[in-house]
Amino acid sequence: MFAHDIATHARHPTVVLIGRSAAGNLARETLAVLEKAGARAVYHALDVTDAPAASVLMARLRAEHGAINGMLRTAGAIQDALLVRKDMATTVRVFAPKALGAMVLDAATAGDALDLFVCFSSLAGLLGNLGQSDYAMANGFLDGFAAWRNRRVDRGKRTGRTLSIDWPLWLRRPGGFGRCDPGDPADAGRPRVAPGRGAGGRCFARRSVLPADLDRVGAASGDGGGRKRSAGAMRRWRSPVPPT
Amino acid sequence: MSPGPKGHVVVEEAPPSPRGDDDPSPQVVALSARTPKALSRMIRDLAARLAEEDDAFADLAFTLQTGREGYEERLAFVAASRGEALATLSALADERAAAVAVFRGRTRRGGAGAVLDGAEAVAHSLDDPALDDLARAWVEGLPVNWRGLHRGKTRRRVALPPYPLDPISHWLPAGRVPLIPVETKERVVTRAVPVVEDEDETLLLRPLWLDKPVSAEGVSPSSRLVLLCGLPAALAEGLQRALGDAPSRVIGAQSADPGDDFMDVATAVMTLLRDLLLGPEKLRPGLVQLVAPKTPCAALTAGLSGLAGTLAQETVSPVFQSIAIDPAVDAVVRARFLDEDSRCPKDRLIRHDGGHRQVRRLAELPSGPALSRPWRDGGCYVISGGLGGWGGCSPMTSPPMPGIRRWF
Repeated sequence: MFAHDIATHARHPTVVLIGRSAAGNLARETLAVLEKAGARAVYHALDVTDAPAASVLMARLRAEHGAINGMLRTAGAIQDALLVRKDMATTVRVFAPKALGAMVLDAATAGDALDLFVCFSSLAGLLGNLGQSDYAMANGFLDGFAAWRNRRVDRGKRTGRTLSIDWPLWLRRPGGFGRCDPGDPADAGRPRVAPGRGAGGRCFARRSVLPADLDRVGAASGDGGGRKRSAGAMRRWRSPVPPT
Repeated sequence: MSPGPKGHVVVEEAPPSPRGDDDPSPQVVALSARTPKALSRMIRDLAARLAEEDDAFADLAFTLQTGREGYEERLAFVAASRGEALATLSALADERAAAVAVFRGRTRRGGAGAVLDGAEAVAHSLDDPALDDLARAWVEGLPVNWRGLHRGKTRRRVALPPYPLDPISHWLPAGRVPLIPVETKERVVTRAVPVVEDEDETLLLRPLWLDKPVSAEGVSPSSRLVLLCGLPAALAEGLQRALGDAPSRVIGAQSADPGDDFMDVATAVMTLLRDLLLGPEKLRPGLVQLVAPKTPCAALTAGLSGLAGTLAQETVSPVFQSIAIDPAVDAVVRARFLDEDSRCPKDRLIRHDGGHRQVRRLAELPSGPALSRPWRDGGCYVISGGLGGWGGCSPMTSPPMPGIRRWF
């Protein structure tokens, strides 16, 4: 989504995709789509919890592409189970890519003049979600990480606004979070939320109205029904009105 | 049970089983439920059932005795007839319990003890206290061999009202995620219903901390456990001393970088809470306070609030509070803050900022004019995890959205 947004809205951008696995058909197809949309697109395999490897890759990207302008962190893994059934060995697999990965990529780009550092988090971190105690904690961590990194930006130790966006769930598919494909019969009838329609881009597109101290934002999608409901909730909460 | 499609065909209704003996002897009516509230409803349901149907009273007592699992809240009494049982149940439903002789109490789960044999009681008349002994034993949680009571008689199970489940909502209603506007008062008054022209109507929310003093009349749960997470050792010790009798545990220490010990503390907290939830119910506190330092980054606090929100959906008891405390405040004052918070169990996410007590709400961000995107021409953007879904995903053509069913 973001890759495509970049490819279609900037002229001659470079989009570097990083994934855990070696480049396969999916990577080739995705790169082809991005190239067609006008971007230079490359894929690199990297374990984001491997700090030395991350540094090496970032150095290589700087050498090949001149500079790194933005970092978008989207990785995550889930192992859903009620807390009473959780195997604590699996929680590390949930924590590590989110928490460690964010720290590793931040350290690897500490010297870069970034415009932005975006973390894809989950509403589970903001509200909690059944079966996702570990995932909720990891996403809560990311929200805190965004705040921590922004304080470093304030002190001149980092550049580029950090924002943690708490997304709702996309379609869940084997091997990862939803790749939304409305044409796939396997997805027919599944509940959908629609962050794919530019919501992420608009978080930035509307950044002038985002409060300056905002580190995290929750994104929820809905149709008129959801909108009306939130309006009703807002009416109930009309007072006290907090300072802006 | 195997997954996959299942089919059922009704060929013919089963013939009614023969009515049991019309046994005029007195019977023990034994009821149990998980909660006092459910027991009260069970009494009302059974009274209504007795008033309507004409099953053999002995069959009814037999069904209650042998066809039901024994829960903690128990009630038992001896009745000579269906009419007498109905009178007793009606009186109980009217909460005139003092006027009738029943045994009532709360057992411990799995209470061990001698098995009382119903056969010994069977030969005695109503005046004999043996049936009363059985009723009392049942209420005290002793295992009773009810079948012995009916040895040599023909009994059948009869249809009785189902267990009155306490309804618990597991949905995420809008009311539990109160949204408040961050806009100015004028704006809210003039536009109470925000009109949003976004084509995809994405709701942007931000967490907001609002001052909320403790409510004076609050009642704290019977017991609580305080988990002091990621606090500097000296601070944690001082707080533990100040908490006095309230049980507390210290988990992890604080370090400068948020990533360093987050995973250790998070795993330790989860392990402790999991074991608590798996342990005996009677050892479970009514309230667990997850306390972490209020720091600029608040990564641990944010993580714990995600955990508290999750556990609120996974379990009814205990109640979980995530509390961020100000490290600069004196330990005794901090302990008093925690005491006060425990009397407001409805506040789940709390922050103490100096002398201010704040709770977290979600505020909707106002919609603004669309501006240009932040992508530079010729810029280089690194998207990690991009292939897993987010980054590599192509834009969707507007899919049908039947309202917010689940948000995540």
